[in-house]
Amino acid sequence: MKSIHGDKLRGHLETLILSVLERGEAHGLEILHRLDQAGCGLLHLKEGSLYPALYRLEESGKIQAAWEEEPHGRRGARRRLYRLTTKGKRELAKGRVEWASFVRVISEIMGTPAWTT
Amino acid sequence: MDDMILQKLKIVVERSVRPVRATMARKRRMREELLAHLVAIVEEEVGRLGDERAALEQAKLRFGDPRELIGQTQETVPWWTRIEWFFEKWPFEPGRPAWRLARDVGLLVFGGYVAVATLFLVPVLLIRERQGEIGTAVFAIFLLAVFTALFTFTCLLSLDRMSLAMWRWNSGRSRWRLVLYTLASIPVFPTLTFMLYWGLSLDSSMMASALRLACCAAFVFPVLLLVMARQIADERRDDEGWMSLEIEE
Repeated sequence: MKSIHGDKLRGHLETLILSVLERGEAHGLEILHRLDQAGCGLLHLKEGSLYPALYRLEESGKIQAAWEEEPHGRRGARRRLYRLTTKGKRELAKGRVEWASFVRVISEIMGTPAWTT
Repeated sequence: MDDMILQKLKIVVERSVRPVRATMARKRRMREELLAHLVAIVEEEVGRLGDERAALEQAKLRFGDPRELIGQTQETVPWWTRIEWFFEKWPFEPGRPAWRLARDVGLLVFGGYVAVATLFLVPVLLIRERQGEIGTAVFAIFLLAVFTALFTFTCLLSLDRMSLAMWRWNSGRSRWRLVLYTLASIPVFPTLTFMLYWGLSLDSSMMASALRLACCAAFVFPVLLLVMARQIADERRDDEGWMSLEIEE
């Protein structure tokens, strides 16, 4: 299967982040690892671009962040741990419904089979 | 990790953070988080490739072009933070002496008090037909405004001097200066409180109890200043380090 690059992910990145944070709090790199695992290594995202999406989600109250206590040998730089808020959970549920309907409509138009929900 | 590698990572971070119009606090947060991320990538890649330089190149590749990140990050900065950024930029203009900042903020506080008094207190007294009390109320507000403005001026100036002394901790003169500033800040609170109560012409028992409280606060005040100055000195050191990085390609 062909890799999926940043441009195609752009509109969906925030919902993808919310969905991997549903598994529990994580820092930026861990979020990317979870996305990579879930996407079977086919998602290719420039790692820096994760952070603007995280800041946006935090600003809108969908996720909350806190500094980790110990910088675990990373030369004094601490990581921020992100977790889903109630608003984020609601947004994720909404995002899933919207995505299912989007796939159904596009599949109909393109004449390719989609999974049934 | 090699210091040279860390320096190069800091440059990548600074390229994506410095041009963003956001407050220093926000930028500090971004810098630390992005640096932690890049360091973690390098550690991961060293484990895979076994070479720090190759790991650095791989980390840059994985992170992406910092210039592309600037616009995306700028979009996440809310409008009120841009206003904060503007006001933060004004007093910290390079070369501007600290006493000017302290003076300007003190005047701003004074003006704020007077404006509030004129806009709210006087109309309320007029509506309630208590015109006779306007003079006393305005005088009290004026004294409070002078007290707060002087207090703000002294705090800001002391904080600046103390944090500078801490920043240059290695020189013996700076240590003596810090001791001097700390001792000089002890009488600030009681003196200003005395001036305020004296101006308000309150009875002697009220003045005595207020002064007793102010004398207790006199010893807490320098400690608070020292704690805050320490924080400012750390941030100054950190900001200077980042701002001294050469980020042009």
